[in-house]
Amino acid sequence: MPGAKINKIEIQGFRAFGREPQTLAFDSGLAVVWGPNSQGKTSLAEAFEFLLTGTIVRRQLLASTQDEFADSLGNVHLPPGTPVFVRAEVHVVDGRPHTIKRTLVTDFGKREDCKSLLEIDSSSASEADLAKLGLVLSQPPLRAPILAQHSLGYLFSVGPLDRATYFKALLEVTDLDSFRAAVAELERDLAPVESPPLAKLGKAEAIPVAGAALAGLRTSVVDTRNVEDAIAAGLRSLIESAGRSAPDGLSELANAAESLLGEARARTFPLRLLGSRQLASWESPPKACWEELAEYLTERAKVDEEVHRLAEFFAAALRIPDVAEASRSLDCPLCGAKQSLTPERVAFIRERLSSNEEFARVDAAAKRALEQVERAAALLSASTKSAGPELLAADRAASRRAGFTLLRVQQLLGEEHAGLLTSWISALRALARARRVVLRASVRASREAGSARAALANLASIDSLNELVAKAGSARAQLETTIDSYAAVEARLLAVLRAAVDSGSKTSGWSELIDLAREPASLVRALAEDQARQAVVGELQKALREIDRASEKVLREKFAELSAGVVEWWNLLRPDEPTFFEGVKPRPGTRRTIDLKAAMSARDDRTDPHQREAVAVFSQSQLHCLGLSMFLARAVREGCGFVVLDEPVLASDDDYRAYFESSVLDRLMKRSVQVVLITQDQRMWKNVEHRHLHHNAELFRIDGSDPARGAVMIKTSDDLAAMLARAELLRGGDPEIIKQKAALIRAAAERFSKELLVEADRRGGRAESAVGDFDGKDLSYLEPRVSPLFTLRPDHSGKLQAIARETNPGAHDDSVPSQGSLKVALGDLKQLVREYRPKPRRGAT
Amino acid sequence: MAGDDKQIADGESERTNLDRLDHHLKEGGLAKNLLTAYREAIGKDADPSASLRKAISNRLAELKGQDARGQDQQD
Repeated sequence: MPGAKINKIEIQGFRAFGREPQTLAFDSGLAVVWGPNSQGKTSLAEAFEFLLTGTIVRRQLLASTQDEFADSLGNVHLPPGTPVFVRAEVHVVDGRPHTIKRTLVTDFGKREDCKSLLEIDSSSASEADLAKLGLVLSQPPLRAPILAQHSLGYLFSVGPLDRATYFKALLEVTDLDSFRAAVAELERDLAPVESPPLAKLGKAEAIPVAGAALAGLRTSVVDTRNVEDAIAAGLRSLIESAGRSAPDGLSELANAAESLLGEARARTFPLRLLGSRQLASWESPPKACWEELAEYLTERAKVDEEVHRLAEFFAAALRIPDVAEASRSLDCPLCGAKQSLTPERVAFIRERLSSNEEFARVDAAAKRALEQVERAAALLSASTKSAGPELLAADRAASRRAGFTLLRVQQLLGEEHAGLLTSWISALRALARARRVVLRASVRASREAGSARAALANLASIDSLNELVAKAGSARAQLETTIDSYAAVEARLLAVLRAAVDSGSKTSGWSELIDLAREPASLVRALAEDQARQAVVGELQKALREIDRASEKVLREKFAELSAGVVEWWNLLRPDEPTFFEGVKPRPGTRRTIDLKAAMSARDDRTDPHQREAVAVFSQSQLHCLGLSMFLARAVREGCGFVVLDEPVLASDDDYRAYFESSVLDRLMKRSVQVVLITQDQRMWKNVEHRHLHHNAELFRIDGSDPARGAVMIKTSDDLAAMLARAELLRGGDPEIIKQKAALIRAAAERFSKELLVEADRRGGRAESAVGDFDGKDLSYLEPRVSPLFTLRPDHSGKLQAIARETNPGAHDDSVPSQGSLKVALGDLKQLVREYRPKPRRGAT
Repeated sequence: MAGDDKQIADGESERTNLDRLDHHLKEGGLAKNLLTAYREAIGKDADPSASLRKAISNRLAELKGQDARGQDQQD
């Protein structure tokens, strides 16, 4: 995309500029600003930089301490609250003008960066929005196309890394680095994953007698049969080396090896006494048990002891039909009492007997419930005894005889793992305590339930039993948690102990080999995955090497292109010198060193040059040219629409100043790069005007002599006399020159007309009238209004009409005016100026 | 034609770095495949790293698949 051009820049309150906004308007591709020292030239260049980047790079490059630039962006004489801004009207590829404005919000602080607000067409905007307009900034630190003395020498003064970063950013190869980094990052995803089967294989491979059988499994083609055969061969070697005969079949081999392993370990240490077992599941007696026991107690209260005792007699009596169906008084069949069994008494006996039968039912249910409670308590007791390590349940003397002593454990663990023993003992004690509480409660509950069942009639309350069972249940829950904690501590201890025991019994790796034999498929899968992973890692590393080689080729190509660009500008500035710039090159074999190569020839034709580091052999003047060449090469490469050159040529360097004024500016114009040239060299200012009349160079003067007012911009090329002089100087038959001459005469005629109208206004009493009031008005508007003022001779108004006609830009689209007609037009205009022009007054610009 | 003009004319400066890199990578190699995946992701405004990871994981699956097929044939 072609770069944006600047039509106008307006500055208020920024550095040397005061509260009165100063405007620099450009109609052409070349503007030259002149001013002596300390008039605000650097402020002008930095205003462009601030507009684009929101900062000034001078602070970063030159400040020895950050606070040196505190409060340096706003003009020190500004009344408080005066806005500080830089505003520009730019012309971009979409053909429409846009206004960019950056307002200083907070100046540099002692340690803080400045803050600013960027707006495009009065809307808040970002750097990305600038890029959309074709104002793409370069990589830091030199982001804006502004050349200043401090940026010109940057590359010669920075370290190798900064120089390499600058060039890489300039060559825009950071995307290659990003791609490489993203590819390199993939290696992390391919890091070996922790695979239990492969870890076991690693241990099994270390078994002296079996390792040979397993060797090659990791690298050979993964095949289930091969894996199984290798494991079987390993196990067979183990078994046979112990003097036993090996059975057939993988699982038989695993069993035989495990048996051998157990024997060998047991000879060294009774590991079997460790190994925490989980608590078996347990259910407390159901609620119904307690309900039945409660019902029993209720029913029993209803039936008195006497009835309970006589129940069988009552039942026998009621089985006698006469008694059962008695409707009158009968003699008692049991005691013989006369007429004692009245119908009422029989009914009473029947009722009592009925109560007793219900009681018998609840009595049986209560016994069953107590049985259930007793059984549950016993189960809890049994499961508690078998939970945790066998060591807790084993007889202490027997454990000692088997070789389990704390001293032995300590020896096996060694000094390194002494801490494990301490934590294990502490966890074991906690477990033993929790276990005791459960056992005590469950044994008591079981015993109490049994006793209650045996003498149910004596049961007065179930509360105590219920409480005991509840206590046993909650102690069990506590025990479960304690077992989990213990198991975690014991697992750490066992891992070390097993390794020590295996080492002592020379069985290291056996259990892992046995595990693999029991699950060969998991090893087959893990081997296949690992081999694929390693293959991809290999391919990735190869790809990275290829990317590196290819990136280097790209970088060299681009360096060659950049070198060609720099050499182009160098040769324009210093043609035919025997010492010349040869190229920007990455130093072979390094990634971070960029050399600037000078070539030194003893001959005028530059043949047989010796190569040296430019920084070492170039003079200050040559380094200056190199800095300028690199800046211009970069600006062109990055498609900048404009450049601001603040003192690009050393005042003392007459030779290459001339080349700059002619060849370099010509080439920039040819490449459609707009140039804002700022200089204190008045000769250059004038020379450029004369050399580039055909480019319609515009001249400005910057005047900062009144600090309170701030720097003031004056467009000197707007002077009527200057315009007429420049029109006079434009000679030749080139159509472009003729068109420019016509435009210049027309601009001079417009300026002359405006001055006459202002003079007339002032004579008429409008003292505030100014040339600026007629901004944007062209000759077709001005001529009819000025003509009545030509009163000295009747043909004068006709002369201005003829000038307007001959220099009408619309008529020049397809054809150009004749040189003769322009000569006449210029002569007429000069005559009108001589006769009618008012004397210049202050404030008329 | 001046050297600089020629350079512009032959379009060299219009080629992106990744175009140039692509030109130097071997056809069919992993580096080229990764670059293709990376550029496609950038073209779609997607995450290029995720795209690379997917390409590598496809390659891994491809190699695992070869192993699995090899085993099946042997079985």
